[in-house]
Amino acid sequence: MYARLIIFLALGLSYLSAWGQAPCSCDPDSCECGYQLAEVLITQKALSSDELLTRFYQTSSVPNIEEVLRRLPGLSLVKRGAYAQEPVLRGLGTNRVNLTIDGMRMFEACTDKMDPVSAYVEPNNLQSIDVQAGPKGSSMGSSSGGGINFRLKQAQYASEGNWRGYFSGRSQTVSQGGALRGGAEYRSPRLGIATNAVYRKQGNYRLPNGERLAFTQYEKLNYSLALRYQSSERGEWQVNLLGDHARDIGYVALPMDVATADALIGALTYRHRPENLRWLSWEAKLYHNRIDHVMDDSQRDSVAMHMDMPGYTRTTGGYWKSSWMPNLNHLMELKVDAFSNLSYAEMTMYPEGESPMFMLTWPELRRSALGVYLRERWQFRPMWQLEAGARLEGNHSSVLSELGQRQLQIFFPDYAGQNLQPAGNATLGLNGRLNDYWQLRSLLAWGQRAPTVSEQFGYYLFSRLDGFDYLGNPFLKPEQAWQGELGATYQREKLELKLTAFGYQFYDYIQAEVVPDYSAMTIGAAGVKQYENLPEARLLGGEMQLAWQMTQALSLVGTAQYSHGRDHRAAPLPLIPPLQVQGALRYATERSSLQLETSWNAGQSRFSEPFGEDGTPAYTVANLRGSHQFQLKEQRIEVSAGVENLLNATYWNHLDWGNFPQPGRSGYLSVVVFWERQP
Amino acid sequence: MYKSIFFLLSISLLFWAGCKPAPVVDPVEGVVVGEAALTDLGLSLELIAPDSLFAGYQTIKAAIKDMDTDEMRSDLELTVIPMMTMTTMTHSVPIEQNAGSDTDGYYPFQTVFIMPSGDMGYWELKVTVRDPLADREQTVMVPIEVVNPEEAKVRNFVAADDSIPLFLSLVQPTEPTVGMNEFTLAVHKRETMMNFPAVEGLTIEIEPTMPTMNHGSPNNVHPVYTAQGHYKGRVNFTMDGWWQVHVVVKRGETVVGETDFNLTFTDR
Repeated sequence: MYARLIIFLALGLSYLSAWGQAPCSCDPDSCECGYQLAEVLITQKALSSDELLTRFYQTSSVPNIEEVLRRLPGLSLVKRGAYAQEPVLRGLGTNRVNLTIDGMRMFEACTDKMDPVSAYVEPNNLQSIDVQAGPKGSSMGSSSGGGINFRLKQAQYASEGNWRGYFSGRSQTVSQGGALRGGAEYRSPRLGIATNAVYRKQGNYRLPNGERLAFTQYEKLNYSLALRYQSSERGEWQVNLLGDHARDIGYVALPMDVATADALIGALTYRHRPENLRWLSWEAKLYHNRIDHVMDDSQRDSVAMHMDMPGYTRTTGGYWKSSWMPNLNHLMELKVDAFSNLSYAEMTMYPEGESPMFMLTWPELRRSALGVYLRERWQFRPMWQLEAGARLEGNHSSVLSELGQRQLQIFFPDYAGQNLQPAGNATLGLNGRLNDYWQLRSLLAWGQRAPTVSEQFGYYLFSRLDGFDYLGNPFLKPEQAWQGELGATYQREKLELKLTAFGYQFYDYIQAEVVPDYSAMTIGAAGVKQYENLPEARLLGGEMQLAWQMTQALSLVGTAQYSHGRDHRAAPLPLIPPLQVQGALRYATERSSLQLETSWNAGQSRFSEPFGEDGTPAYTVANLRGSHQFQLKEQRIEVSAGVENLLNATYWNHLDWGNFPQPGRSGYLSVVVFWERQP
Repeated sequence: MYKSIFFLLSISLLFWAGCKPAPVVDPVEGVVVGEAALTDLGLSLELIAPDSLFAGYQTIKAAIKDMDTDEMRSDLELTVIPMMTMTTMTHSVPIEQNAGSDTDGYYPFQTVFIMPSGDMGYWELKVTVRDPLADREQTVMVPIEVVNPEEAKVRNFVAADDSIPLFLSLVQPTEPTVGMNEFTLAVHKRETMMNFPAVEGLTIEIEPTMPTMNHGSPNNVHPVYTAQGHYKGRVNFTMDGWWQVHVVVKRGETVVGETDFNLTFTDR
């Protein structure tokens, strides 16, 4: 019977999960993986069949979260500066994709998308990144494009108390900067403590032609503490604290930079593990997070007038989730979650010798949501599984500021200052194994998402890309999406090939359209756009992933992705990356490794002109990395070095703003010292 | 039993909260801008305005008290003629007389001072009070001081079609805010130096802009005629700071004149 259970879990995983599924060895952490799907591990702890992929994602020494994200299937990044790039999942940006940290809702504090939530975590804070595309990925919140959950690294237990830690330094030539990292962990039978900190400082990076690109610098400090305490045989408490403080961040593609961006995250979790998975296991979490973001143009000479644009968000929330396995063929999951968010942003302009001008760009908006999520997995035949999930959510928005209310009334005299919007998601999936080699996946999902704060209440938010001021619309309807997906996985002992084709059909697609009668606020702006529900839009695409262990030492991993989007006028959708193929060939012995990576991007000629995009030429980049480990008595030292952009190619990604080239050829050197002390 | 008492109590509390008496208005709110003794009638006269008198449209209240009892008299008849005495001539300005006293016993009237006091001349209000009970009246000249506001509240130009000077004064907004504002102009013409009747039948178009930023605001409503030479519309200010409202005055299709009102304010 136990064996059947394992098989069930393993099948569930291999059928449904993305390529980098969590292994299910049922250690205290990964027991969950039976229902945590499509999980891409980037943890240091490489496990079983994921090892290859893990190494690929981890690269030799991951400099930042963006370098991890850009290697995940389906993901691209919008670059506005060298820091805090916005994740885009299958051509859908953060207005359609929920970014969560350990299941916690968190909201960017910048009206101009300069601080996606992913900017506030570092690779060494993370255990894994769960990517769920489409309305199916609604377990963290209603969504049309999916969700990316950054799972924080948890403290571990050990049968005997021990200490361990690491310290690393990394230096990079292209930006005359580097990073210092350190971490320490205590493990004992009932108490685990893990802490780490990172300090990164980068200067302006060098372009392939040798010039430095101004306004690509940044500096940041990130620290985290995870504590886990086994309070009883079946229960444990967990505390997570995370702080992130960035300073002097350049945004070359924007008219403003950022002086400070500060985030604090705190969470308390209680987890109950039953003796037997057939019994109800549950977890409850309470959290609070806050972001303070201050834009700054004092370094820019060319601005028409100086501006201040501070903003903040505060979010408090919690959830209760449980899973129940009434018998070996059913696995049920129930989650109730709620959050309350406050978003505030203002703008003051200081014309020389004249009265300053002030307005609220986000009107001190309180948004509260309550959601219920239910999922059932039914293994109706030995090799076939049916999955059904649904989410219902209520979103309440209310404008707290009286000034904000008056601002809105200029455009919407009938808006009462508050509104309630329900949103629903539903998923139906069928997965099965045809034979020893082939697995098939199919999925149909439908979902709605509530408009974002900017889409609903943004007030003259300037976009440098198209040169328009954007206005919100409190009367937007929720956006709807249908998602259909078909996938096949071919698996041999040393080879795995996974193919996915997807299609999204949107209704009431939210996009900003030009309002010719309105005059732009920003000096030099082309006009005003206001968010509207467009009748429909369509997104089609596919992904391919390959992992091949050619010999004991030689392995190859590769991904390819393509998306094609069009709006109701048959014009291309914005943010659609071109065909992209990434591959890495790795030669690894016990102590050493050598890795050659290439990324080939086709040009993009299908671009959204109204959105301010233009065509992007094709390019190829290559990176070469190597590492070697030295084992000392108590310490292990890993030295990594490499050259990024080996060919010194001048290129930019289609989603990068302003066509500023990516860094030129760059060498790096990284040294990590690991140590471990037994009692 | 207790429950119902509690219920009644909460209800009455609700009502109490809902029916709080209106705040008592301080009768001497504002500043005394002029005073005089009407000795023939045994009355004293005080002119009260929200602030110093300024060149522009404003409301002034007259408080008339019995000299002996110091009680307000609200049964009198009041006529006011503003007078500017200059070296070579004397002229008046537009004035809106009200019928009588308001509920607090004051006699409000509106006037448009078209220039400040100063080297050019001095201002007086010629106030005539008639006591209907005694059937007697007395006229006094009350000296007043009119200052120039930081931003002009009255504009004038000679109408292009009939060459008669027109005076446009800003009635609203007196305190502009971000958002929707009532925008009301009072239009008078100078028929003679002593007669400034209200003008009706004009078409007025407005356009607010922020000159620093060179942008406007949406959904404004052009002022339309209401009464007494007043034209009422709506202006929207999307942020605080310096705004300029451009006013085009037409008679039929003919543009008779254009002018601007500057409004600089802080609202945060």
